[in-house]
Amino acid sequence: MTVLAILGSPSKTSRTARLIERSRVALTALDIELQTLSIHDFPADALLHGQFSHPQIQDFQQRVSTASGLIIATPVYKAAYAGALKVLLDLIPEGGLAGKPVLPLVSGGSPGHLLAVDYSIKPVLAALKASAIHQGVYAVESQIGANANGEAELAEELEQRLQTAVHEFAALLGVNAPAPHAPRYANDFISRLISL
Amino acid sequence: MSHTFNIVAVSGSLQRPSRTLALVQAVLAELSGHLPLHARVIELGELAPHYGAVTRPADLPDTVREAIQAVEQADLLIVASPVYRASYTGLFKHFFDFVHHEALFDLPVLLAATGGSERHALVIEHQLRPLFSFFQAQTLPLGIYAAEADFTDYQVSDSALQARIRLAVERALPLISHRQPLIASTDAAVAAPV
Repeated sequence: MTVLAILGSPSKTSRTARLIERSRVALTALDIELQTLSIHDFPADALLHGQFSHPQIQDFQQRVSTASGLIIATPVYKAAYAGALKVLLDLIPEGGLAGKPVLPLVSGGSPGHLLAVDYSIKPVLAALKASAIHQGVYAVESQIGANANGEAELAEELEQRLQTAVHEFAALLGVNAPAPHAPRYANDFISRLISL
Repeated sequence: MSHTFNIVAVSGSLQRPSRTLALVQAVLAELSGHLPLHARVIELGELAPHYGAVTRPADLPDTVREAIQAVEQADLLIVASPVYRASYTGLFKHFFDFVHHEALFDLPVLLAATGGSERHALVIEHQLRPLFSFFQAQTLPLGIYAAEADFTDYQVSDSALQARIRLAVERALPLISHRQPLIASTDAAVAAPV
């Protein structure tokens, strides 16, 4: 099973890319392959004029259509998804996400832009007719780092949320496996019950 | 002494001929009947080869920097995009991603969009307005949405759309005419739009 991640960050080594990197580790453990594409993988002229007949654009459309699900990852720029993401989403044909679950991964400079997930990105995914749009993971950039080897390292709270989200996303793909951490809201619910 | 208002329009269309460009030109023509103006149209389809693949502001060529500067110095900004996937185009957003977040404070912005049908009219309220609210620009209350059927041979032909353009301009005038224009002109000549 293959999931396609579309990276909307102009930088390949961005914090947003690190969210994909951590998702890949979790998906691989579930035997789900993750491929990643960003605008750097396409010739500029084909992107700029939306040349649907260009071989690399057709290859992209083919990869979208054969993927079991998609991860849509973007930084928040100007309180919305990055233009570099939308350039790629514009190449997906009308209704091109029909029948596919989508997991949004979003990074922003402050918690104040959380709602960009719901107000900016999800409407576009809905327009592409994604069958199930996961709640998504919003990360504040200060929670995303790298270890000495340059591998992505997330704040524990974020890592747990991402793991939970990836497992829920896998369940939407029909791959069921217990998440390494119970969802935070479930913990809260149980702890509240106990405290009663 | 008369002033010339500096009106900058950004058309997000990637193609020519373009309904989005035709809409922008119709708005400029209407404005020119009311204000002495200097109009500048930035066609992103033309500019795209110079910034589409650029990801760092430092790598922008002068042509794009100059266009961004023109946007930042406008007395009135008209922004128009075709509707792609229920929103502005990727290259439209990519252009404004390069505009400094403090550069458009209080700038009056007229929002416009063109789509295949009436069904995407809310793109003005749900996608364009939040973007320019982020910039703390003064988005004009009345936007202009046009559907494919409102054009004939890439010219505005529908009378309801023409009325909408007149109304949008009429309501925009009080909000821009009090501005101290950046260009002080000594003659009363009105620059032809486009």
